[in-house]
Amino acid sequence: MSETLIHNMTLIAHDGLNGHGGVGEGMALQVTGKGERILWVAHEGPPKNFTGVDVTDPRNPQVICQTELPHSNMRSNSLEVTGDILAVAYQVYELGLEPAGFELFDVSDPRNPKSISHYSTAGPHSRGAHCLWFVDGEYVHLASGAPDFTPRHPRDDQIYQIIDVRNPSKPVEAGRWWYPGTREGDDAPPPERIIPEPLDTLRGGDAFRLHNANVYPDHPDRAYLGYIDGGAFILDISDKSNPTVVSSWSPHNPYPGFTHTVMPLFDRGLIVVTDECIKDDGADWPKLTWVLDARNEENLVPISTLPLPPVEEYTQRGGRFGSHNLHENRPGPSFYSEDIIVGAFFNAGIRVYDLKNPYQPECIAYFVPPGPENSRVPTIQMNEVYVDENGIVYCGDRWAGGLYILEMDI
Amino acid sequence: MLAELAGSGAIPQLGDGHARIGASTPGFRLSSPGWTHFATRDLELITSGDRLYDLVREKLNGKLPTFAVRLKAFVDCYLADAERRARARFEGQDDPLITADDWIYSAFLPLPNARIQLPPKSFPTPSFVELSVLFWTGEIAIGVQLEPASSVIGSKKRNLEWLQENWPGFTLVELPRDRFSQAGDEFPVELFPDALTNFWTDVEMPQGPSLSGILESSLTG
Repeated sequence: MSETLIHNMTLIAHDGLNGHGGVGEGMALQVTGKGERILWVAHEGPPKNFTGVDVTDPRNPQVICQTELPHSNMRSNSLEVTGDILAVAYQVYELGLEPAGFELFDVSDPRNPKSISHYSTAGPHSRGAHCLWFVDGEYVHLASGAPDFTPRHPRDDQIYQIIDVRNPSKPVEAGRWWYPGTREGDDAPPPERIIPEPLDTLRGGDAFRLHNANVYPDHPDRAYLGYIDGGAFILDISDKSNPTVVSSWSPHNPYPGFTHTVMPLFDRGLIVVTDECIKDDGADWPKLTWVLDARNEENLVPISTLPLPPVEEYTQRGGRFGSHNLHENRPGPSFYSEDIIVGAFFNAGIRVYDLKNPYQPECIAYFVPPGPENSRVPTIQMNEVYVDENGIVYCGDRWAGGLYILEMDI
Repeated sequence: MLAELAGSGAIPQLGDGHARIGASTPGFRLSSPGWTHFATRDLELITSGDRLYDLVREKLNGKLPTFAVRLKAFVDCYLADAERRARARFEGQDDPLITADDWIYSAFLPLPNARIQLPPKSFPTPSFVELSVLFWTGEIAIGVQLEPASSVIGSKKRNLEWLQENWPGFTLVELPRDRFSQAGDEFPVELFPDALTNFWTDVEMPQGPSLSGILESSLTG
């Protein structure tokens, strides 16, 4: 597809990130003491660790910092910034390698990030951290293996860990939780696999592990977990050393798994849940974004899904097609809405939904650019999205396209 | 609740789902006729003054959207505060005919999930200002925004700015989450004009909720 499909959005800038345009699942905005606005961008894979982009003028983004990974057998797919501290997740491609876990950086001088500490989760059954959430300056909520965690199934390794970083130079574990039955020695039986896959690869589906954990400072006693094939979980973390399950919801099976993000809309009693598409050409369709009635948090009820363009058409275009990351209403210089949902949908681009009537969500804006040059697939693969408090949308292509900056005309 | 900025006309000023506000429109209070209807069976359930206020609360809650947890908490909190305020002001006064219970219904009526239609002369296509709650005191309109103003989308922001510029009697109250977030929080009285909270000012004789619906249903059988 060579044309741009765009509705109620305006592309105001595009930056290829110095030829390293594979964007991971981390974007976070820092406002420095000097008033500069720095967008920190994670990369899908090596060789780059993270990139800082000055978006003080979003029409004229400038790469001001781009760092290297220690080696190419790892990736830093996820990051968050709070104040002047940047947290970066490290995941390795082989069990036992270092560095695995996360690293904290002082980015008060964003052109010269300085390492504060490295929290290692390396171990014989750990590939480290895939995703992290760090929005309060106090705790990192981590999806990671652990040195002392032995999973029954090799892909069930990344569990929920709460890491206290109030002293950022000495992070310490405050608590953990895993899907019952996934640890060697658990009393609970192992979970029934949704779509069993060979054991010789660590990456991919058929996994009961954590992807995202969202914890909001104004509701600090709740964690919202996307536990891949295990579905969505709400945990009570009022005692961080002993998280307990409030409720869970899973459409798997018959739906093919991979719950990614569980985003609460507290003011309305709703939760938005994404199931990530992980296979090209519709091989794992349908991968939907679900809207749950959460007025009773102990009884989650699905009421709708966000509408997508025709599956028959988009699965023929190449690459992945379906749900992935959302703008997550995080605190900071960030758009907050419980009516407007913005998501990245791989080859269906960035899509904006009006959730006023959650029984009938409407797509009110979208942006689907052409497939970028040097991509592995012929289509755009929108992987991540962040919306700032001015309604400026920052989004990135998974393989090559880099950073796209848009205005919403809604 | 749909609100229009217009004078009087054939359509009543306050109906079950709409309101018309003009310069001479009296304030909308819990006692104002039209905003809800009571059935005869409603009154059969009322065995005390408290139960009547509960019924008014239920009628108002019935006008809220299904998914409006924080809005419901705000409306509940406002009504509880109005009741508390009326009792503090009037309880113990030596009037055998009018009690504090009677004054409660003079509290201003919250119009929840308000959509104010902007004048077609200025907006050829139907355009609205969306507010979490609107109060009309007869002199000023108080709009309450639960959504953070910094995240109001462009079209909503433009419409809101137009209203603020063109309706001098309009006051916007943005309710920060750290001041009011959920049921049980204290009513953020300091954010609101006194006209709202001292609702008894200018009321000579308090009235209870309008029971015109019952009369109508009795007449029509």
